[in-house]
Amino acid sequence: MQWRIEQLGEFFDPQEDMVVYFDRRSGDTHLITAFAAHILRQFSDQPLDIDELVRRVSPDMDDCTPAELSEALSGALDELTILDIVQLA
Amino acid sequence: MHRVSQLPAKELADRLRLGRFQLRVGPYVYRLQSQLPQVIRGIEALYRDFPLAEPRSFTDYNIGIGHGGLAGRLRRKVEFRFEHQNPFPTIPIGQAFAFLEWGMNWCVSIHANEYLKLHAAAVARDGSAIIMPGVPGAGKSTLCAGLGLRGWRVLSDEHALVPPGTTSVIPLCRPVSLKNDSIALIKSFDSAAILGPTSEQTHKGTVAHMKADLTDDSHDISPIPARIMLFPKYARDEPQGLYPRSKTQSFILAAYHSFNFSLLGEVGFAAMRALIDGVSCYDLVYRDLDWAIQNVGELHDRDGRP
Repeated sequence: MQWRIEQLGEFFDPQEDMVVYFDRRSGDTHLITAFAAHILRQFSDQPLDIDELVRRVSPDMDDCTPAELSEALSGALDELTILDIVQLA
Repeated sequence: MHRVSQLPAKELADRLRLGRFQLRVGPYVYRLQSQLPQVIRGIEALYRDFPLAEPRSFTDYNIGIGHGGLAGRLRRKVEFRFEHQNPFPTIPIGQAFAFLEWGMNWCVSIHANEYLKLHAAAVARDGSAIIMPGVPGAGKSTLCAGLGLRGWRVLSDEHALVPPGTTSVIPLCRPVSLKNDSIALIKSFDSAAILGPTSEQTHKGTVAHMKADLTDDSHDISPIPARIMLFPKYARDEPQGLYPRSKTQSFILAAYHSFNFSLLGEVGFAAMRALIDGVSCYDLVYRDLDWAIQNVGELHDRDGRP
């Protein structure tokens, strides 16, 4: 399974637990976790699958095993999909 | 620049009756038509120090308030007119002055999209502003009135106008709207407070407006940089306190209190980001006005300096 972002939006990230994200596609503003924002920043033009996201995110997540990270990514991607910020490719 | 108070009473009444009364309010010019006595009294009391627009000035908001016909006279109802249209249902004549004030607010609320507009009071001291967003009833007007009566400059009781990309507020000083218990509270807080006509049994309860242009520079429209965003909450049954807020939560709440954040789209997001980035954010819970004013002053001394 792969996910994509049609157009990456804008962030307001004052280095707190949460980040404000503006979705250019919908015009909606969302309050998302810093982890979810970190995931979004991995996307560019190409769709990504979980394995690729784990590979990209893991250097910033010292304490997580790949399995834990994969599970956390799945949960975050589910939420981002429900919000229609990311779409299934 | 001529002030309203420089017009003889008859000249003021004539200009209002004929719709030739042009008032400069912040960056805007209102042209007002009315022959209702309570409206004329309210203008005399609360707008006496406002600048008159220069002759042939462009009118931003052409408004009027009156009976609108024989039926209105018979039913003792008045209508608010904007560009010769009636955007609202009529209301009882006893609420005419409050209706005028709400109508003047409405003009800015639905227009003026060159700014990010927050539903907020804004005050300033020593050239540094505090923006105070709040839902109706949050206590922002009471606090704003109290601060104004203690020497702060009132920039607005209703709209914080923020040019996108800045943290500045464009002054839009008008009378402060006081509701219900806050009317007596402000009267007892300072007997020098000048209040206009009282409107009873409105959808907000009893309403009276307080003259708020109390400093020499009240009608200067130069932008004032804001360094603090304060979310006031009047609560009788909660401990008083001043608490730091997270910037992300403040962003979302300020967006909720904005008239046009969504309308402005990406420009609105970028404008809010620049604003929240540049201010310290706090919650203020208060029940004692003197306590609140002292704490806002101390906060301003600490965080409001350049």
